[in-house]
Amino acid sequence: MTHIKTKVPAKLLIPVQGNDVAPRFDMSSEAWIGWINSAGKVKNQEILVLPHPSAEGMCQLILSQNAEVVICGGIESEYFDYLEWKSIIVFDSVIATYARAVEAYAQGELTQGFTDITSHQAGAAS
Amino acid sequence: MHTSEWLDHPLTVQGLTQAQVPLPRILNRIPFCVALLDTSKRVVFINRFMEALLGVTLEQVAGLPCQHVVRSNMCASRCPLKIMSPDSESVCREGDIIDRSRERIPVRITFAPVQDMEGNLAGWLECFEDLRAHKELEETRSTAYSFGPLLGHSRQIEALFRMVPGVAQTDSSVLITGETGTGKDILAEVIHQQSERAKGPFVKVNCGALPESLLESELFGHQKGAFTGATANKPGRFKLAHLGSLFLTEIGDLPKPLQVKLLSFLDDQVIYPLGSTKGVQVDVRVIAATNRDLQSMVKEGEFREDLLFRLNVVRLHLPPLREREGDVRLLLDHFLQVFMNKFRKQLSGFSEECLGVLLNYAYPGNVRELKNIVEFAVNVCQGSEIEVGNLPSYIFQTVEHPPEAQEHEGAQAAGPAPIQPSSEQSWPEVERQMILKALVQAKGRKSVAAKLLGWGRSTLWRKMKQYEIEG
Repeated sequence: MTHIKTKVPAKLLIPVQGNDVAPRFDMSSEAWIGWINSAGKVKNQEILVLPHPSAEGMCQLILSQNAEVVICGGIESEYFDYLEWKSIIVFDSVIATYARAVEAYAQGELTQGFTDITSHQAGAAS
Repeated sequence: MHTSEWLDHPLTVQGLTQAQVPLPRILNRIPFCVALLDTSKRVVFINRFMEALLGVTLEQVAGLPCQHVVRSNMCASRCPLKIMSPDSESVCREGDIIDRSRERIPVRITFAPVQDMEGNLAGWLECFEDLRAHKELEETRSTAYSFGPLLGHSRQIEALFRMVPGVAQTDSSVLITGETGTGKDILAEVIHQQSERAKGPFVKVNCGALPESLLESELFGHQKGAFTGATANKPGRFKLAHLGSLFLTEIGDLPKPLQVKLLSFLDDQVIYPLGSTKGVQVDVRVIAATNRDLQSMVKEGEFREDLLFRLNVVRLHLPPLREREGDVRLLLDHFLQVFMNKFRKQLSGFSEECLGVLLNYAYPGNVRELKNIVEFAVNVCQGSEIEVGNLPSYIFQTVEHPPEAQEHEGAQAAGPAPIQPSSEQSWPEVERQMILKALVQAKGRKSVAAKLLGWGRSTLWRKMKQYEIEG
């Protein structure tokens, strides 16, 4: 597990599936987007919808929304490297509800591969 | 059993051997990636091959929803487990996963329900096959102007090669058209092999090879006692092709009553075996092929228009060899290599004169004929390269007078049949004339004609069908 220093304030984007962080970056057509302020509070959160699931479309959305941090599940190295090259911090292989992932980020707990089964069991079923 | 309990106290198998065997030890020996899920599709167990494929350990993923562990492109919308029941047959699908090192891996997944002793759903079993090596091989092959066993680099055939992978991945009915010998059967098998049904059966039925009554039973099966001689239930080819593909070759020869039954199947995927009122649901993809012009058959009322529309969802046309620019040379070299290996001969190739003849020949029998010519030539060649003298003699007549030969053939088919074969006639032409003459002599009575020819009635029927002689 790689620990990345939390950056606040920051604009976060999370590809989602129901209440969860989407298992696959390229198969999600919805994204949660929100601000984490210096106090770790979430501001201006909204859900954006893509016309269809696609990794390119998601990358475009991330760039157009000026997101600084992306939290996702499985992502191909091609897109991971591209986002890193664009100076975007990517936390991948995250398994949790998106609310829990945001909370973990705000508290500085989020890591690559972060897994929270308890939040998951309380959240949406597979 | 809860997942954490499973990890602490792994299940054991009793009764198989004298000693109790922990189930993980068995599953870890199976050289496939195996995942066992509970009824809510959470991971209970993954074997070590699966750990290696995903880049995780069982401890890391036990109890997590399968879709977050496997990360397949099927999970979100195409997961077969959503529609499977405890007594469903196994389902096989091709897709990809993303492992923990962020690599996309093509996989074939087999999904199966696990039942308890009472037949209730106890969980799910998923077996994964890593297709990376397979796909790499395919890519290498495609650079060598081939697609599976199909070979060619002409514009027409390359357009077809581009279409086939996409077509194979859909579950639509496919109609393959093309002259005899163009490779319709091979293309059908390639489509099956490239599809998600590749692990399922590929069942071939020649619609022109059997009389109507037998064909119906052969295709749809029958119940015991449905007719005299039906001493046991017969499943039929449709049922045998369950979860696979059914290839109906010579679909133009399918009798009209069976065209209705096929149409009904294509509508609801239910077959009604002979003598049964109860329908059987089967999951079969139909691939049909013909060398006949179905559109004109529809106009003449010989083929149902609605069935043509149903089958014509995806139409692939295999061009005749004479229209495939540059492919003759490629195929000549390919088959030369094949037969040199088969007959253990070392030949340097074709002489220039021989190549000239072969490149100018019309190949009415298409790739099959070309292959036979090369096989013949390699067989008879005694020198170091294939000379003109090693080629079968009949091809020179067509090379010299191709238009006349065509006209001659047409005239023979229509006119009164001279029974004396000329040197230009092939045996099938002579046989066709013999049948026509016998039928004329017998005033159309097939039993008398069969007697005149010294054949059984069924032989005459089969030959008439073969030469498209209307009874």
